[in-house]
Amino acid sequence: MARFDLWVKLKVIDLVAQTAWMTLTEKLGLEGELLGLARYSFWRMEIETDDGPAALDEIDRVIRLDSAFTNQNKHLYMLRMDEGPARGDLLLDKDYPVLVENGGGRSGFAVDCLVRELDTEREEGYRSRLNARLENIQVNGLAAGEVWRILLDAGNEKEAEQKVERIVVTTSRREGLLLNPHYQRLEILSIVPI
Amino acid sequence: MVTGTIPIVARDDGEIKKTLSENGFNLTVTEARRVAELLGRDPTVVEITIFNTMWSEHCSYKSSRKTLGEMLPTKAPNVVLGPGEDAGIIRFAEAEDGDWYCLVIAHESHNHPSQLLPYEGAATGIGGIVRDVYCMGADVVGVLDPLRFGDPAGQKGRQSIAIARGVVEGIAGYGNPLGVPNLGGDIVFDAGYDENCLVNVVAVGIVKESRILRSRVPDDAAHKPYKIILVGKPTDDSGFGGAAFASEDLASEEEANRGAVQVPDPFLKRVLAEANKRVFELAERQGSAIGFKDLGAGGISCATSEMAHAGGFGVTIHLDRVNLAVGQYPPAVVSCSETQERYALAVPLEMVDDVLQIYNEDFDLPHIYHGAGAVVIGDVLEEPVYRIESGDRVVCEAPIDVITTGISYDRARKPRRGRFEEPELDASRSLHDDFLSVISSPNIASKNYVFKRYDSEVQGRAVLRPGEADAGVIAPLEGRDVGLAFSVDGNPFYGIIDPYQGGALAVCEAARNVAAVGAVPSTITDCLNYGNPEIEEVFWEFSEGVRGIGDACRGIGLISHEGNPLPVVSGNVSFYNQGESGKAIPPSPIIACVGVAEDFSRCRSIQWKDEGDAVYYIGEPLDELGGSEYYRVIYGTLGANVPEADFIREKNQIKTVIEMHSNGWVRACHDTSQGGLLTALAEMAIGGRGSGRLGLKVDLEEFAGTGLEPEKILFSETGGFIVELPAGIERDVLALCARNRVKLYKLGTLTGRSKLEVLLKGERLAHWPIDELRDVFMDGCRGIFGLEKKN
Amino acid sequence: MPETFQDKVAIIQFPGVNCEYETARAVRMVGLEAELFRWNEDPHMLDHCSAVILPGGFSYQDRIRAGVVAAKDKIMGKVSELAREGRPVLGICNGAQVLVESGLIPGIHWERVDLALAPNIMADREGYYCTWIYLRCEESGCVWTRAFRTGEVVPMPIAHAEGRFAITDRDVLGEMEKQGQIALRYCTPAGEIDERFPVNPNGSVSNIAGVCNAEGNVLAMMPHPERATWLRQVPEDLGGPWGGKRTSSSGDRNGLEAEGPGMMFFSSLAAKEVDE
Repeated sequence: MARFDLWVKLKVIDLVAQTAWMTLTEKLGLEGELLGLARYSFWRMEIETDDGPAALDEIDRVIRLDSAFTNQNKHLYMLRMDEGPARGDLLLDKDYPVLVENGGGRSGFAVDCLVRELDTEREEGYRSRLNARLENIQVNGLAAGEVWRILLDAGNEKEAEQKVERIVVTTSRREGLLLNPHYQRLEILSIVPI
Repeated sequence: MVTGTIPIVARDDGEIKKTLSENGFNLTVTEARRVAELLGRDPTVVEITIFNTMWSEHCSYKSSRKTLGEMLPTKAPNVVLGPGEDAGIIRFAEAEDGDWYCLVIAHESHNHPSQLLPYEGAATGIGGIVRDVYCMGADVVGVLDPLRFGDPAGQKGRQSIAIARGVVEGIAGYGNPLGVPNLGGDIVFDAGYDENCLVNVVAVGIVKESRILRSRVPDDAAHKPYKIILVGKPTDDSGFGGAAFASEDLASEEEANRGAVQVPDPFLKRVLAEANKRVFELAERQGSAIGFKDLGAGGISCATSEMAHAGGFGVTIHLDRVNLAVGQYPPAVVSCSETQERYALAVPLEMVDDVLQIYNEDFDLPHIYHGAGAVVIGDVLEEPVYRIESGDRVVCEAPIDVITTGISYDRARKPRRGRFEEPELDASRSLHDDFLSVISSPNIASKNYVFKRYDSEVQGRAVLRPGEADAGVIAPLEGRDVGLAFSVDGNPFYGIIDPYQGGALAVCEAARNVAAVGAVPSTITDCLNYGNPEIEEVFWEFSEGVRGIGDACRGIGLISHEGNPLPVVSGNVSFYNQGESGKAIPPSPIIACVGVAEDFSRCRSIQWKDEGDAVYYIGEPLDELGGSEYYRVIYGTLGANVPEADFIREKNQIKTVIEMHSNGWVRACHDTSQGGLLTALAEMAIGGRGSGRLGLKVDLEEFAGTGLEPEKILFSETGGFIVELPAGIERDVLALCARNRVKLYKLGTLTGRSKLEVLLKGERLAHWPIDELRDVFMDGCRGIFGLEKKN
Repeated sequence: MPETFQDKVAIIQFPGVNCEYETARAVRMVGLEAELFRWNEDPHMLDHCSAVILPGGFSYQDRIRAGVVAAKDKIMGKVSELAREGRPVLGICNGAQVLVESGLIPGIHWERVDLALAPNIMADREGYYCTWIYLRCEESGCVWTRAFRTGEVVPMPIAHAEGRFAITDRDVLGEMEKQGQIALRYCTPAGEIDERFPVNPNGSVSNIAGVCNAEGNVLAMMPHPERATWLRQVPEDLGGPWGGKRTSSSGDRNGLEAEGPGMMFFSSLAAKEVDE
């Protein structure tokens, strides 16, 4: 079983990320703590295959032709198999947009937060859409949602994780913004020091 | 001193050609020389960029202007403003204070952007067209969208479906947040649009005549200082994708890519609309004359030069003051960028601070959108000169009438010779099955999957919604009887066989559709979508289409003001609609018609209402199935006998139907066109919301005099109307029709038996339970616009 | 001196809302005064308002999630305070989304977000959906529905992409039921609760179309009553008693000027004012 991750980002200014940034820093008092914010569309596909590179090419062909996933006129994307080879023009490992100046080289973490819906209908839709278009392989499992890459000031990983949960999960009028736990959930994909 | 020029004067043609193409200009060598001649020197980069935009086909109408001017009637007693500005205006009701309520209408295409980026292309299409109406000072009360897509079942089916869905989402994604209801639209699928979809958009608004804003610097600028304010989104490099400038290179490839995309922002537009209203109120309170114009193609330079020129003034623009999006852009980009959601205002100096306060503080634009806001970017000059300064450099300076000089071509035309033949009818076919194929075909089937994506209720003016009747109807004025009806039409299949009929019939059908709800056709707009006008056959198709439109407008006329034509008050020409192979799209003139109804309460839906009512057919089926849905779906051919527009017949029918409405007789009315008589009957039985129950039995013996086969009677696309009228007034109905010299057939009486039956001399040819028709009709577009079926 | 909104109904104009004018008109039609309040004005101006309405539209373009950005605005602190004092507060469509995202609805735990208005789930389509549905007015102490009979069925337009009431904590749902907080449910024209599309147009749990707080002064509803204030706005082909009334009034201008089904939410407010 191989895992293929597709990351898609807008080439133009992401107005949603910009609004999120302004809301977090100006209305929820996170100025200084939050160092940067970026947003991606994300799909994780589990596929049974003996020939990883061929599968990678086939998925690449399909997602480039289907605007439900990417449209090269407005998106950058990266399709990666496990931690290995990748396709596409998005340099994900270098994509750490800092929307404000990082105040004097403070230490921080970049946390990739996947927001998925509790209801799986949409993910099922993507899976069958892909399977209708793939010829040699089939997607067995699929997770999809938005990834928020949150750059923030934190002493250690644990602290970063806690802070991110408070930013992401809406619990009250004053706390949390990026998901509503009554239909969405948070999966932290990675936490790396920056 | 002007700096940074492009060498033209001293160069030979080959060198000029190379310079133009290297810099991404579309001007021809002759045009570039003309620019230098007008200026009396080499143009600056900014100047040639301005001409490059202003002399584009889109802005200059250089190929079409002459034909349009010769063939289209634009004057009538109800016209306040004809073609020329951003939108056309007619009067439709006198106000209590002696002023007039006016309807503002604009019609545009956004075809090419939508093919590349369906969502953004369609959304910015709506964004652009509503701006054209807002900038006349009007409240926008609706949008309509005629769409043409590739064949969903053809070779490029998947792509065509993706484009169709993206476009519909884009229209919804812009119109719904903006709070402008969708009033209608039509969709046609054909392989001819596989590589070039058509996304036309119409916006309509309402304004009192005395409050119409003009896109010009007011006369007051002659005796007091006026400033130019730019408001809205920060300027970026929209529209400059791929273009590179010899003297000022774009920084990186990524930026070049971004330039190709226009980013729609209905949110900002909505906030701007509110803020603009406050500014207009302020101007009215203070008695200050202001000028107001939206920024479209050509951006700052085009808008400000035209505003100043229209008022007989000059202007200096200071580019350094313009709010910019991230990054630095060269002066030519800042001057000509197509960044969305911007307006230019000419306001007297004493009003400037208050205007800036409304935009920047009250409505807080800089916080609502990073970098947005209002800023003074220029001064109005008495001297008629157009100048742009960037830092201490003058990057453009010329007499203003030079900058706004037009350009025109006489294009050659040559008839296209096609071979069209009528199919041999196969009498053994099943009428029952064939009809189910026709009404479930995507061109005929219900578009409820599309209409329900759009907000048709916002503003609360809706009387008849898309799909419920032949025209969308609103009650525009609270407490008043008047109704406004809107329809868009254009059947490309007629135009393939005969481009003249394609134009003429589009007008006839649009007029018929508003008449079907009892409204008087009062103006039209046209959006003329064709291929490359430099190809003689294409230009012939275009000029034939325009001739057909003009003849139809004069032939049908303005019924409320006898002796006048139905005026064309606005429109748009879109050329170069072709695929990679260079094959042009079918000739596609698309007409929007506005009707004025004296009492909206008499505007009825197409659905049959009452058992026992009589159903009549006004008109006569002729052997006119060329381009019909029946031939295309059942015989896979266009045929040859395209309907021939008969303007006298059309006019008489329209008058008759309107009189029937005025008499309060009409319970339901529907025109017969695409799909013919039988399709129209089925649509009335089903109803726009799919809730119809009543049935009808029709005996074709009534039509024995026509000498036509049953299929031809049932599927001919000759124009006409079907009306449901109460029983017991037959004598009056016959008298009215005789007086107006229209043919009338009684088709039958509505029954509670939920079934549509067709007989010939008492013998049943076919019958369909209404439920069976409903299922295939309501579901026909699910495969395209509904959820993809799971496997 | 800023306007004080004394005894007026304040319609909050967040950037991006688009139903503020119809809503104000509906309030005026029942004889009350209505005034728009721009989101960034001084919240104290609302101290003496008689009621607050959050109109429909797309505040902040529904970015991130419908209603959530407006919920974080300063003015919502004031609305929260007024709601707590018992001032009537109505959120229509986007306004309902704001009330849910700011925790005023269901309001069982103060300002805690106990519900979501999630993306619609529909049988054959997805996204934004605009149509007419039927509502059943449930037994509740809601001030905004007091002009209705309990069990009364009325047609109403909806237009939204995120209108599915969703909740993870069944106990909270039980509590809402128990306290009579489910003021409105989607139903068939005959008033039956059918959980399937299109009767339930968005997949809402328990067919919920509107929820009030336990005290009954705050209501969040997805349908648009301000778009159904006149009979002429009811579609001709809708069927049922209201559709029938509409069709039989065609051709009669005065008949079509009669009140539509949405008017009752506003007359409920007017009736309360008279009571007090």
